[in-house]
Amino acid sequence: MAEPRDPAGRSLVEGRARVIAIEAGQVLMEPIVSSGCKGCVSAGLCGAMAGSHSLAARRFRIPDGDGLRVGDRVVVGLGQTALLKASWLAYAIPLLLMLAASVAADRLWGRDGISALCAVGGLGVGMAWSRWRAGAMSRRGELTPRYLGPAPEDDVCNDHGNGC
Amino acid sequence: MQNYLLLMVGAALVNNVVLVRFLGLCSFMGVTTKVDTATGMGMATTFVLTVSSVLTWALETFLLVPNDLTYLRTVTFILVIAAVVQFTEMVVKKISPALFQTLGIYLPLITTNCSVLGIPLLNVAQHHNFMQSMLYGFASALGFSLILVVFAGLRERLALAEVPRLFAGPPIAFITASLLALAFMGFSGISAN
Repeated sequence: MAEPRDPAGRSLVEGRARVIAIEAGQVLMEPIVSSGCKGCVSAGLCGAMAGSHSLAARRFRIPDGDGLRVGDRVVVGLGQTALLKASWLAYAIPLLLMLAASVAADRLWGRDGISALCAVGGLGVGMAWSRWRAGAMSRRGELTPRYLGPAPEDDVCNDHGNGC
Repeated sequence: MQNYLLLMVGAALVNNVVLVRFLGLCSFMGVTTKVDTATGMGMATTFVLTVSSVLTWALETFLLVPNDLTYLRTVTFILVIAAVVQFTEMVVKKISPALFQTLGIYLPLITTNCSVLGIPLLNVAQHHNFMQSMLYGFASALGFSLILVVFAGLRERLALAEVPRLFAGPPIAFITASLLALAFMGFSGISAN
């Protein structure tokens, strides 16, 4: 099967979602848990399967869902580069600033307490910067999944063959 | 500075958390089917592991040892890790709901990753100071992420290979992982010990 790509030819990461509501031309969707979670013996205890509350928190809207109805199961895609950029923004930038601040403090003062305080400061600055950059990416629509098509009828959701 | 670099190389390669210490094997097998998911999981784990190392050092130094409560170490460390994961989830959601939708799925999985508890406990056992604890946690997580991405790349290639039916799926993945572990044991040759 051909790898899914966006109009610009970039690879997409596929996921499954269910249509929850259609409001003012926008389609509200909820992701279908598609990992091997359903087959795991610890599924009842695991945070990844925390149920409707967790899934409700991950709902998203897409603008281009002509012909979709509530309850439809669909395939959505997110650019691979967007996923990597998002990972950098959310985790790498705050972490690197935290490390840089604490290493600099250690070189300057050489005391654990001051290094720890500088680490917290670096983490805070990194998070503020991430927030600013993430806002810009969201406004450009880079973090919004796009609708790729309806999910196949015989679709199975995970490696264990459990249906969605 | 040279000591810190040696500590980091040792934690990331020589004593790799997955292939030498055999920690975090469930995430290693579970999220390495695609390079993208492995990268996302690796970065999330790196963040949580480094922050957990810092917080557990502070807890150990300023609370457990002065009050002679070291018998509560494992329980408190588990609590701290769960709190860090929840905090990270809340912060990512606050910073950007879109980022949370994209990356939120990896965070709860980290709570059940035994390497996130193992590294802070190793920090205590090896009497690391603040900088050593933080860099050891960071480098161990980098080693974990490296293995995740390398193994995901191998599994993506394996998915296209013609594998005998008996070995298809997890069996060939385990054989590949064992060969990778053998290759990483070669790094122990560069250790001063």
